[in-house]
Amino acid sequence: MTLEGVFSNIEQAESTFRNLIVSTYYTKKHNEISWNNYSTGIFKNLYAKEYEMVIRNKQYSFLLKDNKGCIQFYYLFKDAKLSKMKLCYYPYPVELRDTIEDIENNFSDNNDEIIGEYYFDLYNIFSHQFELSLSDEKLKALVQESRELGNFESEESLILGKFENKYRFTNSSHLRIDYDPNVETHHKCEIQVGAINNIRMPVDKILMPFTFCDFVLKNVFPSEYKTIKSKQSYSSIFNNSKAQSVAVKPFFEPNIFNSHL
Amino acid sequence: MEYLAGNIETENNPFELNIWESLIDYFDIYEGILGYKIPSLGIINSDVPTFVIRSKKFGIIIIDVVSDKITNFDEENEFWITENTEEIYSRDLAISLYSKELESVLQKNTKIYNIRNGKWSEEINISNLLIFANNSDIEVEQLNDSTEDPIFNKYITSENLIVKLGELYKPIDVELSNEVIDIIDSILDGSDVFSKVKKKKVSDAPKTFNELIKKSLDYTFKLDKTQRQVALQVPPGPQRIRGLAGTGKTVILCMKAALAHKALKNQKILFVFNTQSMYNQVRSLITEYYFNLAKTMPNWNNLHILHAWGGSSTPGLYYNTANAAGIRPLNYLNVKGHENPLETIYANLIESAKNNILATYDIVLIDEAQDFSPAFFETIYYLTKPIDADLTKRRIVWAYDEFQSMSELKIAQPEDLFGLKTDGTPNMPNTVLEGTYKGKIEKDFVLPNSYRNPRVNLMVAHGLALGLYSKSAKVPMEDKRDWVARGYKVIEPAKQVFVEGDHVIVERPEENSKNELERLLKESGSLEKKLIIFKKFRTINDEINEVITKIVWLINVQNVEAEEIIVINLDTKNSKAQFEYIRQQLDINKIKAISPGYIESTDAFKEPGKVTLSTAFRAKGNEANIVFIINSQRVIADSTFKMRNAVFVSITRTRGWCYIYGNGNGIEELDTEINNIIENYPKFNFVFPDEDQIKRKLKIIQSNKDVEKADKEIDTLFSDDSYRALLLERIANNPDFLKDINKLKGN
Repeated sequence: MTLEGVFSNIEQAESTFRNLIVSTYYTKKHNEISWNNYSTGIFKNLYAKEYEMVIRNKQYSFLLKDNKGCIQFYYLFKDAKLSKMKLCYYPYPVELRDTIEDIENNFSDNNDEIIGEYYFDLYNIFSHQFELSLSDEKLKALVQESRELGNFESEESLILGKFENKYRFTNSSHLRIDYDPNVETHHKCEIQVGAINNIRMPVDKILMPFTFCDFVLKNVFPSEYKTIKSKQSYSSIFNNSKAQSVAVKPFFEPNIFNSHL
Repeated sequence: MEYLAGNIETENNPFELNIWESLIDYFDIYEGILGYKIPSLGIINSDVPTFVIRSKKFGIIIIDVVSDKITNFDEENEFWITENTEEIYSRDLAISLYSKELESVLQKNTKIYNIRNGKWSEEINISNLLIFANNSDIEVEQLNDSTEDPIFNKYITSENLIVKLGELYKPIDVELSNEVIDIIDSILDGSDVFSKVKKKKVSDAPKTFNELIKKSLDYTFKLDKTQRQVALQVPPGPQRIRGLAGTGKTVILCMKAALAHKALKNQKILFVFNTQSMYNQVRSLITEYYFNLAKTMPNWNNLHILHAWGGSSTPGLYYNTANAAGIRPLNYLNVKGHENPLETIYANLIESAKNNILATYDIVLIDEAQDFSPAFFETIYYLTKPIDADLTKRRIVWAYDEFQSMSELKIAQPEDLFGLKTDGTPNMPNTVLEGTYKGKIEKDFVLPNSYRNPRVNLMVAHGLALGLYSKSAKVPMEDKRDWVARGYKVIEPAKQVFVEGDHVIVERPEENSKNELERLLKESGSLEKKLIIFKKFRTINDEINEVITKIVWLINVQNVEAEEIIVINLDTKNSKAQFEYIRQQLDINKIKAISPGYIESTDAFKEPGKVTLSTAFRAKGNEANIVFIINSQRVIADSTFKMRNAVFVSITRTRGWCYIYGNGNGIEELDTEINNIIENYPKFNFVFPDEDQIKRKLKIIQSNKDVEKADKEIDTLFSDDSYRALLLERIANNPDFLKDINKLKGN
């Protein structure tokens, strides 16, 4: 694996998946593949906030279209050898169940956004927790209505019900693959789900950017992916990228061990 | 002669006022500026001479009025003893020191003074004069006789003042040139500190868009006559300043704040505004100007620059006032969902604590007044101390941006803003804005000159917003004064208020448009009308692809910096997807873009090296040299008029070129409207529509309700047979409604 090889592999990923990518910010410095304004120390305690900060600060290599999140490729080389790798996918944190038209309409009149709306709904959940008065007029009306109909649901379950009703699911974490040749106590290459701190799953190979990108997009854009896959040049790029994966020295793990086929 | 009355009314010294009137009597016929205690040159207020006159014919005349009756000089004639046995610093020495200081300030400017050979480029004559207001000629003679160091400057007493002035100051034939006068003026009023510093050499014969833009940014800041009049005066009561965006309102308010702070340093001054991002600009304008005046930093304990809201992390007017009045300030989440959160919090403050609001400030300056609601103004009323027993005499100055939106076609009057007394009469009757302050400065002051937008852009923006050439969206202003406030000259008809059937012709005079790009284009023989580029397309895809091609051309061929381009989409519903596509295609062309509110945060605008993609609403308050407006056809089929407002906001974002693109339904009509505007340029020429029609439209435009939603619901009513039948049934049974419909048909 070389710096040049990794970089041109990203370029191949860009041209292959260009239709699904809105913005690109990957860069190549003398020993590092990264992105513009690479910064560390992103707030990690609330995923929506983490996501927001990644996007606002343009901390990504590829930004995907249709609010499907972003991908980071980070490779650091020392003395021509890979000394660190991080591949990461950040999914968009919320998805609305209703048509988003209502909120879109607000765009012309205030500074509202989907994430902002999501925070507001979270705020209502917390307000209830701290016995603060709720500021959501619609919710108040809902509680009132439910009482009048004789449904004495607790306020909390109505708030949560409204939340569930509004958001299809909530992504609460990013997904990443790390490689660090210096670790001794666990495997050098692992998959980690950001929401879970202490459990990482070992992987047997270091991946090229294209391969990771392909894996993510296959799941995120299933129908577009099919079209892209059917193109002539695709399989040679796919196979070539796969062939460049590097096996990691084995580490004793008697339970679950992922392997890159 | 032009008059800068400054604080003369506030100081209210009868002797100075008398002499001010005499000076006006004598000098009025000559060209020049007569100012009161301006400039101060960093000298303490009491040692700044009373008047400075700058005139082509007389050079610079410094006049100090000795208001106290002087009874004695001390031994060295350094201090003078007054009637009240007070010792004051010799006015004779003070005026000389000031005169030397002024001379050295002027000599620092290399364009009017050659420091190598010590010569003026044109001889500038500086003369000093003392006027004793309370001593007779004989008394001054006696004083002089009593000392070995008699007064060495020219002096007179106020006896036969006009005659003496005539003997002393005879106009000469040689006049100073305009070039020198411009420089002297900007030094005297202190506005030379705002001049943009020349950083790079600019091309003398600009060709590309980029060279034109760069050249247009390189000019000497100079207040124009109307700006200077209003900037250099702190009125002893309320004042309203009206003008379009880019007429210099913020700079003027900042200068007023600095001048007031210099002259009245123990008084509390408040500068309040609505747009967060303005804070740094306001603070640095005030600091620069104040430093130039006083040679020290402002005392921020007495000069508060506050955003209208604020919170636990940043002070703000609402937050501070609520706390001081003893109520718990509401935060954004408490009032989210209300139509206008800012209005809600102030209304809450007035309702729950208006009697506890302390009169904290002596002077309040309000920028962006159009953004504030009556409850805000009422709060300001209680926060401001009256200067005397007349409770309306509060020094509140508010700058009103004309025409930020169509819902403000009619400017709110003081009666409607400042609340009511317990007996139901207004705190501030409308009459407080009638008449003038000293120096013939109107209490309701209009700034007609626009610096930001080229004239043709402004006229297309106004023409579309008011629907002047539209089939069914004509909502012109009916009051002559409202046209004047927006920089137009009414040619016909000769009345104050227009009525149905009037043939109206108004013109935007060239002298009211001071846009640099426009001037440069004209200089290079190009038509300024070319700044508006209208183009129609068959489909949205064709339209968007042309936007992309054009941007690539502007950046790669015309060398325009990406941040100088803003793309505004009037179709908010499809903006997200369309911006995503534009952004992707630009990215493929190695051009980066941002889409505030969709991907980046809402306040990200004009990031270096990136094109901005925005909705009209978000673009408010920003400006760029090139603006693209897409889906402009939306202006036509919009019965809520929101789109006319949006297109106005969009066009007025540009300092230079505006590309108006559109497609599909309505685009032909829009084409006709724009064509009509361009053909009649620089005039508007239309027949005033009937009152009912305007009233009905204004009702929609000014409604706070969700008219867009209602509009959609009405669509549903029309589309379904049973709803339609129901609708007809209801109308048939409602005589008033029927009458209205019949009336409509009659038109």
